[in-house]
Amino acid sequence: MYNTLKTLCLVSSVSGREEAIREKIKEMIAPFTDECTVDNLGNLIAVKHGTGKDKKKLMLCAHMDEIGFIVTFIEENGAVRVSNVGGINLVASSCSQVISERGVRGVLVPESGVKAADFAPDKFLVDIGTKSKKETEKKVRIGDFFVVTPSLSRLCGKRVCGRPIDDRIGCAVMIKTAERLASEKLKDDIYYVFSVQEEVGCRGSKPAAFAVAPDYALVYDVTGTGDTIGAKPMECSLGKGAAIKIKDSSVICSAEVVDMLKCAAEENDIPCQLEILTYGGTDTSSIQMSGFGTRAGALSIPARYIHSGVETIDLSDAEACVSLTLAFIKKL
Amino acid sequence: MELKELIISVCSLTSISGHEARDLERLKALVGSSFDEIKRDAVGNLLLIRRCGKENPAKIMIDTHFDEIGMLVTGIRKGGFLSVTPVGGLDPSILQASDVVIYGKKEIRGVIASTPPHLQKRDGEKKLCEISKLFIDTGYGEDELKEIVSVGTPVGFAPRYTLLLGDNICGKSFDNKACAAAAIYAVSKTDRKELAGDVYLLLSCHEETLNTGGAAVGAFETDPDYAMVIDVNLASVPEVPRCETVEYGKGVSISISAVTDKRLTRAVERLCLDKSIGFTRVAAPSSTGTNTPAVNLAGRGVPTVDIGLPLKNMHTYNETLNFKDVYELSSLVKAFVCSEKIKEAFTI
Repeated sequence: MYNTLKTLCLVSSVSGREEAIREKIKEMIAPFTDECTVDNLGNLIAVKHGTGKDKKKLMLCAHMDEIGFIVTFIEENGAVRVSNVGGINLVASSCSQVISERGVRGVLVPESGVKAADFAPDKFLVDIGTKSKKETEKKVRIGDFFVVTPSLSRLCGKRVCGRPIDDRIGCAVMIKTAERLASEKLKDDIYYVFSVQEEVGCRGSKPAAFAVAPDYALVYDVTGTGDTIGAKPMECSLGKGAAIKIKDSSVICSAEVVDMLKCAAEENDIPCQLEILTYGGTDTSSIQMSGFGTRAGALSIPARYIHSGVETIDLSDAEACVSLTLAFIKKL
Repeated sequence: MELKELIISVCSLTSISGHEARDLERLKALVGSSFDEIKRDAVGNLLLIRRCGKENPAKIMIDTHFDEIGMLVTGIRKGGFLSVTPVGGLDPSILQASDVVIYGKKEIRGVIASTPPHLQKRDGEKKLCEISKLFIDTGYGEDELKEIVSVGTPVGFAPRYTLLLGDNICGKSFDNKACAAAAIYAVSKTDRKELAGDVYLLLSCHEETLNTGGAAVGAFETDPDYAMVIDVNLASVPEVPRCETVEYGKGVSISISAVTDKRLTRAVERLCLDKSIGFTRVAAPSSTGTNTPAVNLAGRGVPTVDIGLPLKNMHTYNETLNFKDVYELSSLVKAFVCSEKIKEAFTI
């Protein structure tokens, strides 16, 4: 799981510019599936066909985009102005190393004298080490995307930190699931959807769900936890297993799917916890209400410090998500 | 069953967003046998279909959301207390000391814990607790409670209805099941031959929660020729600006809005005048705060009229309505599904 996650983290792809990560995922999932297509929005849809009579369609989905910055203006002294793509935590991103889609390195810093309380996207600059606008223009164009430099490191035990674990860990869970299912003869069709533009409003998964029209859907994404000092009370912790989502601020999951997941976890002794996130949204909402509607649920990977450069998870939770997915498929 | 009785019976059911089907069998028993089909879809909408028996019938959709506000358990605390998160727009100022029902493996009662005035800090105004800081006292011990309740268990206000003078009634969840009951009553009591088309009564889910209304899916599935969305509307009470409320006890409200169909709205107003149904107009410039925008944009687009039932004390356990307004609403639904004129104008 660590190596898969690291491979995925090191390919940067901001919302709306997912080509690079899509190519990487395609290369990784193709050996385990029958067919890979890319739809009009750029979603990657891989399918492994089942052979059962009256087979159902299960759609698994994780978003492959990540938060980042877009270049809006170049100052006379060569500094680059940027705007945020997705929900940026400016305190966490301040004074970080960043890299552009064309490989230009820089540092993201607030304007001199701006206090943390006054941080806003328009108070930030990227210093790429150039001395003039002219020099910068050779390396950076308006509309180029930057990200905080990706990384992944091991902490104690199964815990790892880095970025963008949101949501490359979801992609990794799906790839690992596909690998485990590759040699199995399945009753139902399994669609692996790697969606675009989640970080800018859960956009890509809606047309993907409309096209696939699944009977059931499971979404893989990170969720917050209540296990850090000063955290809001929340019954979700790192290392306690796959988090079966009941609700976040965008969705109430299908009660039927929640019950099926609970049963599958219990019957197979898979560590799990129940999750109610009082903020944030996921692709679950857009998939649920797309087209004729879908019985949609989600398996979350508990994560600390989401949307920072040091997002932290416990890999055992991700492994539990894989096991629970396999058990869920048997219950369809 | 008479309309008053049906309203109380339907509103007493549990249907917290996401758990709309909890009392499905009881609902089916209340609806009776006058609908040809009762379908539940993938997201939890319930569609009641009554056919007119004509060839190439028009498809008329009535949407009344069927979910209600409530809470979900987020944790079991020491001493048998439950923490909760709101489902839909709950006002923390009405929650303390209210009676609730916890719909776990069995139904148990609880009271939301309240700090007595003697113990409240004296400096300045009483500060309201956020919902996430309130606790439900169940009387059960922690271990016993864990057997009955888990994270995600729904919690609702205790159903208790009080008749007031002047044909008024107060209790929980008239938003929006009083409208659902009025529509069920009107459609099921209408002679099939009188119907201008097949009637699709959509009891939609998830309206009270953000971004997730089931009406969009329901309307997409149904693909109606035209639709009426019915939801409660804010009735005028003292101290609230008149321009933001509708008149109480004078019949239904009809929304004039960019997201409603102008021709259909006019046709419904004429219908009210013809049948002497009381109505007041209400301006809702770019959104009605109901399922109307979602229904209007479903599939190829649906001409939609937005009707309101005046309701006082909305989103509390003592929502108050006037039966006269419900009778007017029920008459309007009947007139709408029977109107040949509207059918002629809105089918090709």
